[in-house]
Amino acid sequence: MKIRIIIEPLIDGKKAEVYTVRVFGNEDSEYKIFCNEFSTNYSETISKINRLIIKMAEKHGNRDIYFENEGTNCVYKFKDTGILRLYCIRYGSLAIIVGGGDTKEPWINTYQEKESLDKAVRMLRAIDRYLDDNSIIVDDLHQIINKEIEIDIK
Amino acid sequence: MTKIYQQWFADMLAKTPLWINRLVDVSSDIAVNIDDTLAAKGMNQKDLAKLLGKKDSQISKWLAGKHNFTLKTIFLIEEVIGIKLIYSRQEAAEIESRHSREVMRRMMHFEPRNTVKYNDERNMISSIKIQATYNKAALSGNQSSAYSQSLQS
Repeated sequence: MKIRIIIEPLIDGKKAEVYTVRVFGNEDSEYKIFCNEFSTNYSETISKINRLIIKMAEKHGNRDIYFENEGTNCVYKFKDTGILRLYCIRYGSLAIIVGGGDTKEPWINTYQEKESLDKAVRMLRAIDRYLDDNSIIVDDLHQIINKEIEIDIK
Repeated sequence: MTKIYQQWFADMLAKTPLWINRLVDVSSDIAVNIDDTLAAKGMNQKDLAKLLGKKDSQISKWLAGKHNFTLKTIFLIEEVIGIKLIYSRQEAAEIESRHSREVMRRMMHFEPRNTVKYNDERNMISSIKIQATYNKAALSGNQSSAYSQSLQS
């Protein structure tokens, strides 16, 4: 399934740059949708994630210790978020593209079992494939920022 | 300077309770210190888990950057990896005071080259006297009177 997306800058910090993904036609990025959906019932977790993102950008870079690989080569989830799952792609310690996510209830064993989680992971995998196919490295990300690109969510 | 491009995110950050900011700031600093120390010692999280008798997953959670460490956990980690992770206000003040005394001690050791003008012998002697008076008083912890004493010399 092909969709059009826009990768937009969220934070430009001393140690890392953070980007979000917006599906073309949507007003909000996947990350904003995630935050809005869960900021009422999971306000503490959302606040901690937001603060950590700022700390990564300003001070620590996006270090391995903050993430866990989500069964694929390129997609990671933020660690220690309770039943929330927020996915991203990381480029070394310098850049991170934050996608969306959802809750992963205890009875769900893998992300593939829940459509919203699976879609979030597949979208980021598709972005990573697009960057790979077009030989776009982290230093060249600015070439596609704020521009409409078409990805194939297989 | 950090730039935030999306206003909704800045608004959300502004509404974050201060205690959450402090928790994440300190927790992530501690996590990075532990991670760097382990790397420097050629250890990994598994080794730390073994030393502490914990599961790997527990250590992984501790280092996630948002963990609410207990003091006991921090002190146990300090003990096994051999570095101090946190300081109380009193401890930090003592360290700063020791550092200041060390700086002054080094200044006193090098000061004849830094502060004396050799073109006038009288000036040379009085310059040494002024600096020595300042250093002596500063080392005793009385910096405000040190300055006024040095002016009177």
